[in-house]
Amino acid sequence: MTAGSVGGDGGDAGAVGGDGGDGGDGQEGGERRVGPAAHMTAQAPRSDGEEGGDRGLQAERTELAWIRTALACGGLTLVTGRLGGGAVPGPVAYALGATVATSGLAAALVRIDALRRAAAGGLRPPALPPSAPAPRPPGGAPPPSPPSPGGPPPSPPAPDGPPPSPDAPPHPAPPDPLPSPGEAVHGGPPDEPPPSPPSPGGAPHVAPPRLAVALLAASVAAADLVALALLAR
Amino acid sequence: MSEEHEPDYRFTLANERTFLAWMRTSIALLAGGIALRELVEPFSLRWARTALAVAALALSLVLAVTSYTRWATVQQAMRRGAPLPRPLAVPVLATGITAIGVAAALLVLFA
Repeated sequence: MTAGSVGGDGGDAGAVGGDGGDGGDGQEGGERRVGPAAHMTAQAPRSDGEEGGDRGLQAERTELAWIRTALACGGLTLVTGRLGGGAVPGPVAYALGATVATSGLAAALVRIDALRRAAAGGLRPPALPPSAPAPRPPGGAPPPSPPSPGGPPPSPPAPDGPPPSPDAPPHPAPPDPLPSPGEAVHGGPPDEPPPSPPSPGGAPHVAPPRLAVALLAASVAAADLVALALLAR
Repeated sequence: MSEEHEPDYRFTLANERTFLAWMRTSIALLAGGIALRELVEPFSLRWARTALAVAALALSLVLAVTSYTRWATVQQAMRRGAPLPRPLAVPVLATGITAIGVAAALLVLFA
């Protein structure tokens, strides 16, 4: 499991909402900056670990969540159908579970179809504006690397001192200064124009599944009410 | 009144998956309540088994309703760029399951 920023269920991980033990799909797709200038870009890596499009993985995880929910609805049908007969009459119990299962399956199918169409259209997270500052720890200085246990403590840099011997532990590299506002930050020539900012309102989005969500919640709530009424008799 | 805009689709999908997780929890409580009523041997307190089942079903009903309202309010907050509302269903679920578990343990031990 990896750490995530906006986790989902199932003890997971993942960038924006891993679900059901998955996640960790950061760094999927998109451009990867390599080389010495990778850590000094003004465009900080996204905190969710995705620099480019997720190539439909978010939609796929959501599809799987819908499938798990539909399977849970089906399992409820089996449980109610198998256990009914006492306080809950058998046919009523089976109809109760079948109603929830049908609603859950229908909602899942509708939503999965919409998600696949959205993913086929190309889902990409919105680009950060180029003026977004890189995240800095409080105080502005990068955190020092922890000393290794048992090892010699890192000596402070001595600009005028003698050069270190070959057997001496290497000194930690001094922190790279932040680029000035007019400095090129993408490794290109200094006179390279900055990337164009994302167009306003151009951030991709997926229509929220109001119908599917309402259908599923209403069917489960109705099943709860029927079961409560049967048990309270 | 704040301006509304469509949120990043990843947050929309994450909110949707969170709703589905709550729904699965609600379905599990529904199935558990029915199984509790049908599978567990009656206690000496004859109403206790039904009471536990009713508690599980009531908790399932509360979760089914609050999960939808939570999904809708979170979606609205994301559209407005406002802070997300506090998850009220979490303490309700924790308290409810704790109460049911403690009651079941006491019944198993002493009833």
